[in-house]
Amino acid sequence: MEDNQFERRMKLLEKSYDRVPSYFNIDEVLEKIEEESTSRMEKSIVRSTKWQKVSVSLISVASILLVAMISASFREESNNQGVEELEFVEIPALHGKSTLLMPSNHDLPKSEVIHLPNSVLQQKVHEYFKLIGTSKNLQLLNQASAIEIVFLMHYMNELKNPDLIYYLYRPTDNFPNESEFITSWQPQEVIPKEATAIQYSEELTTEQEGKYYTTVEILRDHQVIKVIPLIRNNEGIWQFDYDIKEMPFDYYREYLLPINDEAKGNILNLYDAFKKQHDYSVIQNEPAIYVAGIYLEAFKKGDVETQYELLVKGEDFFMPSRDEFLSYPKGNALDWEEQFTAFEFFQTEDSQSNGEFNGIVWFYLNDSLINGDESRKGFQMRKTRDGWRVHFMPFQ
Amino acid sequence: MEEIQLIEMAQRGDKAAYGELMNLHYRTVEKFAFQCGVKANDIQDVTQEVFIKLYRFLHQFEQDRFTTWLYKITLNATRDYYRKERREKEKENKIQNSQNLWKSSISADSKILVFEENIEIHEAIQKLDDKYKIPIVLYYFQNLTYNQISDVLNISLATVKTRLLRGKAQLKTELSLSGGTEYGR
Repeated sequence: MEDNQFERRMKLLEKSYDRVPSYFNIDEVLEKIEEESTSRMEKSIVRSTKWQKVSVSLISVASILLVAMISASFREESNNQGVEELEFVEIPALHGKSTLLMPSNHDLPKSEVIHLPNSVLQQKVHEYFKLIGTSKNLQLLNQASAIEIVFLMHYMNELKNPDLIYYLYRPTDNFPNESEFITSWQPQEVIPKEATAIQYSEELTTEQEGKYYTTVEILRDHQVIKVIPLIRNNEGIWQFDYDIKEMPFDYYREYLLPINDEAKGNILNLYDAFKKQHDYSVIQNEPAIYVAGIYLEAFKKGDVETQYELLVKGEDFFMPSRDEFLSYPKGNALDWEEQFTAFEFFQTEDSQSNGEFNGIVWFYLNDSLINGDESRKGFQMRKTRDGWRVHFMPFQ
Repeated sequence: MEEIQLIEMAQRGDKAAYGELMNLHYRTVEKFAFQCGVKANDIQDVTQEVFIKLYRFLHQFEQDRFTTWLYKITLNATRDYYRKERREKEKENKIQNSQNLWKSSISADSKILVFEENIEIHEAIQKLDDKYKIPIVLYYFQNLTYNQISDVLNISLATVKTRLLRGKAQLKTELSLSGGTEYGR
């Protein structure tokens, strides 16, 4: 079908949508809004009376808990078949039931595999849910392991509780405010039904300026079926990455790499080699993060020709002509070596039939440059059969 | 009165101003819901749901992003509708007389899409995966720019363009396969 024929048919269809019937009644909606506000006010009066009683009880229970926590120092060997390589400390929980919490002050989280279903994990996560549900004090989660946080997210999705789910995400520049989040929230199956185990590996964890970056793997019969990236913040709490959410297990990824002397040296050598003749074989087998680095080095040096050569080209992509691109005014050259401390790559879309796909290199900002919630910059790239290329206007 | 003033007044609780705002936008919501796949018989409920939800969160919106939020909330209500519709269909399948309900829904839709070529392309759009369908609807029938689509769907500009291209290609293929009916036949 020709383009013009297609456009004409879409125009005709657009006109036919004018016949969509309308029975919308503004007064009826206003009435419903009025009813809703009245009923909400009534509920809030009832709730505040209940909360006054509950808060008095909570204060008493909390004092008992404090004493109990100090005295609880015995260790119990876990006899649960599902938990491997873990030692638990048993302490009394808020409501009198016993709960198991991870040992505190463990700086480097240890590898663990938990087989599913697992009632111990279920119980612990339920306790976390109750704790933060009543107090909204996230600090209580600094005892929770990466696996527990994933399970907690799964549990809250099952309970359809976006109010609390909101707090399990790490706020970034794209993160909506609470009401926006709740409005657009859709329940997700965080741990697929067919999963038989969840795994956290020390080897997949990197530390960067006090934060840990990891990937929790969901397995089915020893095969990874899904991976979930998490970040542990400076307060020791594992959080979901809102910008990535989840990643199919077969998505391509380059793990976090510090921009140290070795990485800088590699990038500068590649840049020098590539800029001579713009020979693509020089970068064909290089990782996305290095090709992104070459682009930024070219940008820093005002080498727009090299920048242009690295862009994705083709009729499917919006691109200025070469002359246009070269004539753009040069902005303040960004010094990537100064500004960023680490980078990593995530595939963000399914691969096309020709094997090409899009993804993002995240450049983590130097602490002194972090402004508000924005701690990293996304840089858009595309895998082509000739290697990595950069999208026009790559910074998101 | 300017829309921005109406939004300001509605945010301060002025119901009459909110009524005016609904008056300005309800046709957009009705048409958008139908374009996204809501059946004609259910448009009224979905539109009502959108404006009730919109009011709940009104005070938190930046005024210049009102339309973006209108689309976001309509999409959300449409998705809720899909889920509900699936449940309803499951129930219907269990009862013998489901055919009559189905016929009544088909008949309401056919008053909108009179010509066969329009039915064909509307149905082809409904068959697209949501990630292609919604950008196509926003671009062709709601006349949103790439930037506005990227804002509504929280995706990058490059993704908007790619999805539009792929969606269009899939639509063309689907129409070629179905024979590409032309004008009233």
